[in-house]
Amino acid sequence: MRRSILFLLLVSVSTAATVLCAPLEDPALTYRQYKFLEEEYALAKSPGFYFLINLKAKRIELKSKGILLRAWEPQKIRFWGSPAPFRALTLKRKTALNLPQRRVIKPGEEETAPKPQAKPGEFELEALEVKDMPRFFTLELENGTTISVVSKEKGLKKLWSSLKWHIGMPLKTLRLRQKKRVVSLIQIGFDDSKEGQALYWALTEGIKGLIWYNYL
Amino acid sequence: MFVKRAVLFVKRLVPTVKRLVLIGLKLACIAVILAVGCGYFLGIRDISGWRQKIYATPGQADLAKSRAANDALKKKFEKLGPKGVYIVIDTGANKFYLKKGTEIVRQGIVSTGSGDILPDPSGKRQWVFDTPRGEYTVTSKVENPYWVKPDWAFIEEGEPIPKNKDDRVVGGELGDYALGFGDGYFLHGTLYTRLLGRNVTHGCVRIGDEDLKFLFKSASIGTKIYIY
Repeated sequence: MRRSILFLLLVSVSTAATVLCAPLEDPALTYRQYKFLEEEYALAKSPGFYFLINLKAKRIELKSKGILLRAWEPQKIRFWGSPAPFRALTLKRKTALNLPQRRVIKPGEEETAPKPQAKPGEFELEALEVKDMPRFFTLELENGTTISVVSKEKGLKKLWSSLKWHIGMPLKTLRLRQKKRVVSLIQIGFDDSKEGQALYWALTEGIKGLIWYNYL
Repeated sequence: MFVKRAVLFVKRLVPTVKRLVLIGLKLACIAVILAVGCGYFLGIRDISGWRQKIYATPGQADLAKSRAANDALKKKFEKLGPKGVYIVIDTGANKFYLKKGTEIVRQGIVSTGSGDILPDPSGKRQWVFDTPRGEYTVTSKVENPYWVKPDWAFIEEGEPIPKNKDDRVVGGELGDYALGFGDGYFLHGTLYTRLLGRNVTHGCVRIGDEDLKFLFKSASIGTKIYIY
């Protein structure tokens, strides 16, 4: 009898706790989602493509008219400093150590493209392709926010990158604060370098986008 | 004697120098730790300061309003997208997707622009062989298209540009079908099927025969094409 009462009590308390502690819908989050959708709608109405970066979901999307064209799911996204404003920002510049170079054709030069009978993989094609894109690059937005993209970091490189982030970034914040400037940096990491290269290929200078800092 | 004294002096100095160096290193570490701590404090303050400025916190009563506004906006989004099928071309991966809504009806490999630059020997113009990116519409549909070779096709080969238009016409190079999307760019067939999947064209999009036939039959004038 006592055991049954104890058991019933335990079950009731657990149920009550689950119900009472269940998270209520956060009005602030819903409102932020609405503001974000509003900004995205304004972008979708305008001509051209736009990008969305969702920091919590670790997802980058290329869209047009609300349609998803391509998505990337990096293994790492982190940000530091003052978040970008809650409005569409233009990608001003892409920078990298080794920028891809276009081939200049000399009129009348022998055709370098292989004959149609050649099997794939048996030739070296001279053309600008995704594999020629840089694996490490930065995207600078109009408000000064920098998006740094890294690929395939392993071993010592990864350790160095961690040190630069956890020690270098606070020191940089301090140094720039003395000059009355703020740091705003997002770091995106891909294990597969092709994904990073495809991102560089797809995002052109002048494209607008939004960043969703939805875990604040 | 002097040397002996000098050696003794240096020997007494070394431990002091060692102690000073150690103290200096410890102070430097403390300074770095303090600086990093200050940096972290400032960084976190930046985020929370932003949060207070940007994040309005409507009351519970406005929650229903926000939810309704969200739903209304989502419906507006649906009206923006194309009705029916549309074509997406990924110039990086050299793939095409024929989609309806979020469903992929057909996909396959293509060849897109090489990105090469061809300067005119006269120096007055140059061509960049990129496949244009953006949102386009199918503006023409042609069966058994023939190619009217533009000036760059002759310049590239080192041949003189013909004065007679008929000398520019070449048949059989563009496959069985072509879908035009403006400015002289087409989705068309190719003899070089083994090069599909590579960036080899002068800007047009080359598609394999079966895929092209399917696209030709599925798309109509006004079908949207998204190229990135």
